[in-house]
Amino acid sequence: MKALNSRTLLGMLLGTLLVLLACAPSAQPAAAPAPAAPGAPAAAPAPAKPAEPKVVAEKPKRGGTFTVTGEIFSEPPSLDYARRGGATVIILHSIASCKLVQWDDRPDRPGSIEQVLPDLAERWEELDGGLKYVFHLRKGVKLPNGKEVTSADFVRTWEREVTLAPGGLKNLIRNAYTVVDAKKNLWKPNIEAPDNYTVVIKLSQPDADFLSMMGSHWWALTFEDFYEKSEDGWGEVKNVNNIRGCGPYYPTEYVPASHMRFERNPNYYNSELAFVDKINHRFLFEPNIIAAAFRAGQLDALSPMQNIPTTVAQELETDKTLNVRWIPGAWYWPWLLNLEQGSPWRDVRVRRALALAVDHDAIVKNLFSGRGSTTVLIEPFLSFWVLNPKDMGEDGRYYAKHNPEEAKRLLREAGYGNGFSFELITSSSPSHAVAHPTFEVIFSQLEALEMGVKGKMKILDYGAWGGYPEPIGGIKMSGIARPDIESFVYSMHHPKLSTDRTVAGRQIPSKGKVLEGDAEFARVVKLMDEQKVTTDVPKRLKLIHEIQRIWAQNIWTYYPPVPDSPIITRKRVQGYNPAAGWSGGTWKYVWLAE
Amino acid sequence: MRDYAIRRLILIIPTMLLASTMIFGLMRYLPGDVAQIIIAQIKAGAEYSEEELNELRGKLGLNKPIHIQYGEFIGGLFKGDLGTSLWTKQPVVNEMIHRFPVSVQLISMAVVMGWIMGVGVGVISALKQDTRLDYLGRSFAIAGLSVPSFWVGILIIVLPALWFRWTPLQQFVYLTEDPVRNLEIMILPALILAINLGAPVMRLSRTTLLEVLRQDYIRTAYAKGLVERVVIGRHAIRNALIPVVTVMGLQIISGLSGTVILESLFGIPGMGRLLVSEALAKRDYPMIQAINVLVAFIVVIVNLLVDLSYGFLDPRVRYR
Repeated sequence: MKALNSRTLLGMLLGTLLVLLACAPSAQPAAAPAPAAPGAPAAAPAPAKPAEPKVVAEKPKRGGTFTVTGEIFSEPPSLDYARRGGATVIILHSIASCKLVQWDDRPDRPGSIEQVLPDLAERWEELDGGLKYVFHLRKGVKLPNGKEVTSADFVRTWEREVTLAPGGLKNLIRNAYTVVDAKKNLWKPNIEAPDNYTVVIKLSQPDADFLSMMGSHWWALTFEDFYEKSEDGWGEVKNVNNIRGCGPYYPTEYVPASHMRFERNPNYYNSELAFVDKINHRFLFEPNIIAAAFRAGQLDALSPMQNIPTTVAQELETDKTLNVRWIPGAWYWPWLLNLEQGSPWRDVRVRRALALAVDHDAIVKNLFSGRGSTTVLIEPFLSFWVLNPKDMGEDGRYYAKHNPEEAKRLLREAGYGNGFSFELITSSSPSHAVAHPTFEVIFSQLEALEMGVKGKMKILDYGAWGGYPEPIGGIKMSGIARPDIESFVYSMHHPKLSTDRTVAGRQIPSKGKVLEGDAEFARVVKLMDEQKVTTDVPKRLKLIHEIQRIWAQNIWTYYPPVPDSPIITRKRVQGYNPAAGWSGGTWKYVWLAE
Repeated sequence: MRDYAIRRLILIIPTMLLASTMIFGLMRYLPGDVAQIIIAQIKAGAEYSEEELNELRGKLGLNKPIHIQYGEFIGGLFKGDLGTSLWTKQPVVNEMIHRFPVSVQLISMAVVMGWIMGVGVGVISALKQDTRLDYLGRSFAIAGLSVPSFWVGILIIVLPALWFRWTPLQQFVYLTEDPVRNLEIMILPALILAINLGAPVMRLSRTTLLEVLRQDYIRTAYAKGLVERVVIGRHAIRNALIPVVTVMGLQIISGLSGTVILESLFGIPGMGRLLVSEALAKRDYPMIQAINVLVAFIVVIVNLLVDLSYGFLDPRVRYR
């Protein structure tokens, strides 16, 4: 062949460019508009309300395989729940396990309002002013080996857990445990089995969340009959075939990085649940990959816990084979402010200036396309308990209004007229990284005050972030922990429970004692104690609203706006509860229309 | 040659000892406390005391003096014990046994395809120098060198889904369970990696073959009346491939790092993903150490094999 001349070369180059242009995908995702200029008046519409769950009129059909992603939102670090814990492994055991009671996740319920329904316990009694609970178990509930589930299994589960890893259940309901030896960290659960079908649990004080915890997916009834032998005699979970219980589904296959399969328990006693024969849970984390799997028909549903960007979900809304529903944010990213002496955040005026400088409505409108919200203290999805900052009236003004002039005034008054710099410690894990654009906007809004307040992110990998010590002079972005109201207004904030450690999920920054002497904090602590023992839901709600109001004024932790979380399903998916979110109950009643 | 090989084999021991020491040391410098991460999971986000943390550290063996930990690690290596996972409490080898063959399969497929593509395109490019075929081949090599494999991987998954409602993404099946489906799953990620690996091989093959083709002995071969096929096949390519063998051996090592992202994208339970997405994120020191030691060992062996192969390929090369 002849050597190529320059004209031919140019022709080839142009041809290549034309081919590349032709190959560009035609469906372009709508670009998120740039955030409004900081300080510009924001005439933002009210945040879109989440669609109410529809009451399912059709009778559920049985059968089929339901393919979902995001429900087990990360790969389990181990399969042995009692020995290693972890949110994902507990969810896994919980699917295979029955509980004394269950959260009310029926499709038409608003979700997570602490109402419980019977499960393995047909009925129960609350005695001695809430200090004693007697649960009466169903008879004839069988395990795969034919053995009947009895009250002794509950006693054994609790003893196993407190022996192997004194955490987990004991932290959920510490009132149900007695300290045997504080130095050796030995605890004894106050649980008895007077006969095969009765479980008695005694509490040291009434606990508003006790029944809720008994129905939560944060612990699981376990059966060593199916475990591998272990040296300590408590059995060990080494593979998914060891996870067998009285719950609706069992895991039957686990391929790391790929999927986990579940099959319905043929002995399951509750005919109102578990309509699908099989659940196929895929481990997909990258949003574009998830979108591709949906378009290719490989997925039936995406759990709201997966936390994909708004833009990807909006793109999928244009797909006529899919339903996209939006619920208030299932995740949030509180800033744990360093309240030590010497830190700028110690001064409440600086904290208020932060909240006033940030245009929350503009972020929701421009960054989240109008689908988002701001709450204080409590994750948005717990919609029953959340007090909207706008409803706080003048008391909640630090979150409900954008007022940069007032922010500047407060900074000057606090002696920070020349500003200061701070570092926000965050992680590169996908569930945190999705918040980084929001943080960048907040930093730019602070800089727009032109008072020298400069923030920047320090992004660590998850392992480094999780073990990051107390930041001095910096603030650390927290994660979240349990989905129940108890955790948000008590165990994660109460100074009695705080120690010197700041860990992922901890919301009281730097040493529980740092807020000693703060009269407002003392007031909120008193309210926390009161709501903890208030079992009357309307009364408790009032107390929790008041706690939020005080917190919104004092901003001991700061809460950036969060986007709504999408639930994406194929049209054949019915019977799910979009509001169940974190409770693990989204798909409890799911069935497939075809 | 035999003496040389024996010497190199003996040298593996101090090399691995040095590599293991560096790996052990680097792990201890990583920020983040695995005990804190574990206890946060156990406690479901609630608080814990310093005593509980120390108790856990004791159970994990992390509060032993560093030289004791090191001694146990090295001693374990000599006994073939790679350690116990801090998370699963199982020997790390139990997990690696399932993951290692998957990565080996992916890398092997990628390397073989990369070599065939690289050498094939390089030879054609050299033989058809300055023609359209040559430019096409060189463009392919430049693209293979410059385009990141993770980007290609995402495009290959996302674009067909957009245009044709189909994606190559599948749930993983092991080779022993269903070979056909397994190969269907592995072929694309292997091909993507192969393009990355084949590109430098192509460029080097082309360059070295062009050099060889200009040698006197090639001219002599033609002058003797040998057909082109014989001249190229028997004389030129064999000599041209000697430097290419070095690169090809190193491709195996590049392949090890290249698998990490592809395994994550395509949902392949290989060792790359185990190391980066799981062990590193969780600070599972024994797992991280074990995988790195294994990789270091593979690198040492591959380098040795590459060096020894010179002696076979080039009779002028003799080892003392």
